Amino acid sequence: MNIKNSRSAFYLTVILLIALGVYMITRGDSGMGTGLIAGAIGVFTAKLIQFKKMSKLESEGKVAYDERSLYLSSKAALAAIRIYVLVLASLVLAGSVFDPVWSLTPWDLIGFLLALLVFLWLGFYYYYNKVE
Amino acid sequence: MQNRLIELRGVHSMTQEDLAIKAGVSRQTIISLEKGKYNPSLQLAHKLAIIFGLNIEDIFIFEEDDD
Repeated sequence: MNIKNSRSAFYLTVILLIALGVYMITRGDSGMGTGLIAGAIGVFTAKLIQFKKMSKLESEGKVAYDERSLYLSSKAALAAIRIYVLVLASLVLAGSVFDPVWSLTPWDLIGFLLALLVFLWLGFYYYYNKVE
Repeated sequence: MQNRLIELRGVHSMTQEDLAIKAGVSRQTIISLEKGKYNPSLQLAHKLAIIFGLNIEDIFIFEEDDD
């Protein structure tokens, strides 16, 4: 997927999320709907700033992402997966032994696990970018 | 891996930014290369060799401990 297609896909995703938020509000779930719209607008704004910065760099003949970015990304992904598996395995073990009661919907649980993986990757990328 | 990038940049009166633009990489990559914290791909090493008019082994010093 080239840059233009990935940006189009991103804009489409944001529109879909906002549309979903509006649907949630019309269905009576204003909290979830508002959160979805606010989140989509926030991510869109952050990405727009990033796109502008990258366009400015490209217009000056500079490169924002290169082979080192890919190298760091791969390294961060490997580290994140290792820690992620360790954390989840520990949780499964602890849960099996102590059997705690959690009042959590499956969607919330999946959301938390997804956020954990993303934050792990971001953290390791930031760390490796500093030390290497 | 040790290298002579800083020395060669000085000889050619190039800033890190200039070298980054010519090599098609970010300035951060040049910084990491010069500090010896990042090893370039063969393609990048070849590009740098062409920029400086040298062979790859004249720029990057491979030591036995690099294995």
